[in-house]
Amino acid sequence: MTIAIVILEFLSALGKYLLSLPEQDAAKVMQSLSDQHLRATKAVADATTQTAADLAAAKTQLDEG
Amino acid sequence: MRILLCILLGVALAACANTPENKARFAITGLDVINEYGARFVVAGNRACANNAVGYGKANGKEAGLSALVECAKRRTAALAALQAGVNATSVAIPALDAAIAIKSGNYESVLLPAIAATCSFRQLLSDLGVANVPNPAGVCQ
Repeated sequence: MTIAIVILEFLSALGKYLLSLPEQDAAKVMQSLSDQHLRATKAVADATTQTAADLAAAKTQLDEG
Repeated sequence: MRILLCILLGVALAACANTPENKARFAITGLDVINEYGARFVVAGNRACANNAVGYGKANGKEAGLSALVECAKRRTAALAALQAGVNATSVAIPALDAAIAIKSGNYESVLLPAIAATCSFRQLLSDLGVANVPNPAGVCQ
């Protein structure tokens, strides 16, 4: 009887854990999504700045002959 | 019994990772990977174009170099506009997807379509400009 109760408790705990997995997984995926979006947004800002600087430097080189 | 539990656990884990919600989130992450790496390609391509214009100007005169540089600037403007459109579209798609998930609409593809269209259009522009091997995580751009 005691063994049966222990097994049931174990299965109950396992079931709760399994049911919580989608939420845990979703939180990780959401975090990954947010991090990647921040990196993409920063990359756009960096690209805008860097490309302008490169073109300006090239024009300066051309002006200097 | 142990084997059975392992199998059940494995199936449950696989099912959790492949929910439609997570697939949609992975798709947005994939789009942002394209945008991030695409931005780097834009920088590298613009730099190469500018260097070529300088070299062309030294060989053919300043005016010729400046004309080549103007072409570089046009390409830069087009590439950055496409890139910005892609990032803006994902910025819109993220809260829209959250809302769709919150109400359990299940129709996540329609939420993602504008972001997929904008980012894949940017990716195509890079390909047209001669950039090879632009990432395409999970084949999000068909």
